[in-house]
Amino acid sequence: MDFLADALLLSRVQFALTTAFHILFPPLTIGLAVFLVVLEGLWLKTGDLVYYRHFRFWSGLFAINFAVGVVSGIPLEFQFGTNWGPFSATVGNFFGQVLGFEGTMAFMLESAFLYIMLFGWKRVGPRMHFFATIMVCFAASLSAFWILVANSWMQTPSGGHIENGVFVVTDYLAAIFSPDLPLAFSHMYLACLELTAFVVGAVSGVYVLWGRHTAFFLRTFKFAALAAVVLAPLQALVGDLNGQEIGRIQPAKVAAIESHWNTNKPGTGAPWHVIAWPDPEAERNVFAISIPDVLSLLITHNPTGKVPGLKDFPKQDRPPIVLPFYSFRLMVGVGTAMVAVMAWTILLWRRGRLTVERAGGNRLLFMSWALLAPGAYVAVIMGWVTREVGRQPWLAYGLIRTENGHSALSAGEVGLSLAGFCVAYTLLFGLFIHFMGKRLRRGPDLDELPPPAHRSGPVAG
Amino acid sequence: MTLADVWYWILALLLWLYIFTDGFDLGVGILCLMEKNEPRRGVMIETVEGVWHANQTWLVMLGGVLFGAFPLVYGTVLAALYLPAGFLLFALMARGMGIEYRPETDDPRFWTQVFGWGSVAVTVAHGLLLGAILQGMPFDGLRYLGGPLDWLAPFPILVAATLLCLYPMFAAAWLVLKTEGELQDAARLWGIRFGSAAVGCLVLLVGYIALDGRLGHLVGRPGQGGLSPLFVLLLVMAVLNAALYFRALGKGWEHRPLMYCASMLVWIFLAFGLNVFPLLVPPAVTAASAAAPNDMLRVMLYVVGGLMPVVVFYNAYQYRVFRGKAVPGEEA
Repeated sequence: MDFLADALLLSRVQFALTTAFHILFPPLTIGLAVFLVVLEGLWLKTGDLVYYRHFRFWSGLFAINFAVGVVSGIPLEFQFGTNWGPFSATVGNFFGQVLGFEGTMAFMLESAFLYIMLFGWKRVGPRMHFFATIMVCFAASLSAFWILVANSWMQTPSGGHIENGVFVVTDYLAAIFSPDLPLAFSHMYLACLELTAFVVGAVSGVYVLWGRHTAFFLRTFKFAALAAVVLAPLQALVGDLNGQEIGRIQPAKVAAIESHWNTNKPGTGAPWHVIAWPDPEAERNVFAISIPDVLSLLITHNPTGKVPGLKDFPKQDRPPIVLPFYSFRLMVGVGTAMVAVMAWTILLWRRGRLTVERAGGNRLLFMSWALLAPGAYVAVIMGWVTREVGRQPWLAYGLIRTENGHSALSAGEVGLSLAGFCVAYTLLFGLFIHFMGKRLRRGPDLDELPPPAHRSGPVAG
Repeated sequence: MTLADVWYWILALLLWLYIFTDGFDLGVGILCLMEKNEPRRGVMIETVEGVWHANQTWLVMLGGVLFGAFPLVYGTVLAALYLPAGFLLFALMARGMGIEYRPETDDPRFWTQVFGWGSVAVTVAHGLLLGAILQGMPFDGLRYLGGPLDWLAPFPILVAATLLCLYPMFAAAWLVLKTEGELQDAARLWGIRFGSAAVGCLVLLVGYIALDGRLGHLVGRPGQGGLSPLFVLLLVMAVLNAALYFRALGKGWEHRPLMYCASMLVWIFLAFGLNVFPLLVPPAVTAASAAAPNDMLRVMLYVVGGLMPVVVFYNAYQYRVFRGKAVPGEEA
């Protein structure tokens, strides 16, 4: 158990564990906030009580999800100081500032308007309530933007240089809009929406299967299916663009993701390994099932395009291989399954199988949605594993090595906090599942009426 | 005044906002452990349900601003205080879970206890962290020269004890404002008890500083015992505000006790702040030596400084929407 004595490794495990746990919650918060704006907009426009009741039902789930997201998120900000002190001291004037912007602009806005959205129905009028919902949604998305600004800067640090141990910003906008940001933010934001579509679809589908409130939940199921029609293929497209971009800005990451050792010679294509097991000592794959030329096609969209292999990079600059290789394939697999299930859903819908009378018979369809909802979470985590493990051995790519950014902590201290996080997050997760399940079993309140001030019929549009 | 100084005082303002606002909702948690009647505890918790979250967010802002404006402090002090900082994070989790999950269950008593003891733990962590920083942390450049358990000393423990009385004192004033009837009467009684204890602790704390010459940098007499006249004057103002608080409770006023809590905290901040300034972490780290480059401080000042009034405005709006007495069981 050598690793227990290695404070650096323990800190890395702790950050990986706490971020991976945290990222289970914000995507649904971000996506559901968008969904709630749409629901409330429809309720205000049509005066159809179904939308109001959907809003109340989904906002209840939103609240539980948001709570765990916040509780698990605060340790992340502070870990930069506690465990990654030298990194923070070096880049804090930019990196810390970005996190400060997130707190000031986004997080506070969300906190202040959330309660009005959840419990303010009797206290404010319809327009103000709608405004609060929009603010919650805007703030959640803005949070995602600033966090991705910080993370993308770690991937492609730009806009300055290190001088006397401190990062000096020379071009502020270049630092914020680092090369990695546009596609990384698009990819993550779409992931939030897509995950939410599959969670909403899965929850609705399970109610339909149970035969509870079939008409009520068919409406949101179809809504989710329509969202998936747009989101699932678009995400595949953005993911592909992202792959090409990373080939340009972080070629070592691509080589690791693909366990690709030798740069292809001019005039030949690089093969794509479906499955492989790398041997980093011998600098080769122990075995691989490969398809010729496909890697060149994927990364450069040209069958003989040049893809640099791992051997082109000094050994000490190579990321781990196994983890990014398999996490990437898992993510892509889930994404592909989402496109397939979306197409199948539309097919059945067009054949008239999604009516109130016949919907309950589509057991296999709804079960696939129910499987893809947790699948979406797996995909998000695997995507981040690919991105962050592939960034190694750097904290800020090419600028600060991971080992140089770590605080002078003892393995005992970090081991203690890591054990604490393991216990606390296991409890948090168990409670989250328990209370979420309780809400879902109780289901929506279909007799609920809005407070009088909100009943005057359409007020917007 | 340099940009680093401006940020020093913005940081102080954020700390004040955090300690005052989260102080009273943490205090409500502590007072829940004093109250035996569960439905009444429910009403107490309901008064802070809508605001605790935004109150806690001042801490997130404080962290972000400290990180951006004084990266050297953020990167060294938190690592040196690894154990109490970690303890604070776990305590915040417990407190948050207690208050968030309580309404989801049929038997809330367990979660009330989690909320209450979580609040106690957060308060203790605040005291230990603040005390450890104020008593001084030796650094050689970025290297921490102290031990990992330096925060476990009489002074930080005294600070923690003071906060354990001060937060419930604030909470009592908040409950006087937000409740009525028997609960409000109970809150007045808590206010007098915890208020007296808070003043007692504060005097004890200052006495300890005056006798222990090593803490002279806190009271305007670096390296020697005793208290500076300015410090004594400001402290008397703080105690005077505590007296006004007791009077307001006695007169049955509902708004003023909370206002006097706020002003009392201002005087306490001034008493210590004016003496510690420009030290950020005694005995040697000053605002200027730990600050980010001036260009960065300026950008941050435009953005955060420009947004602060907006942030305060919508926080105030939220308090206004939920003004008046807490109505038991009001959900929608």
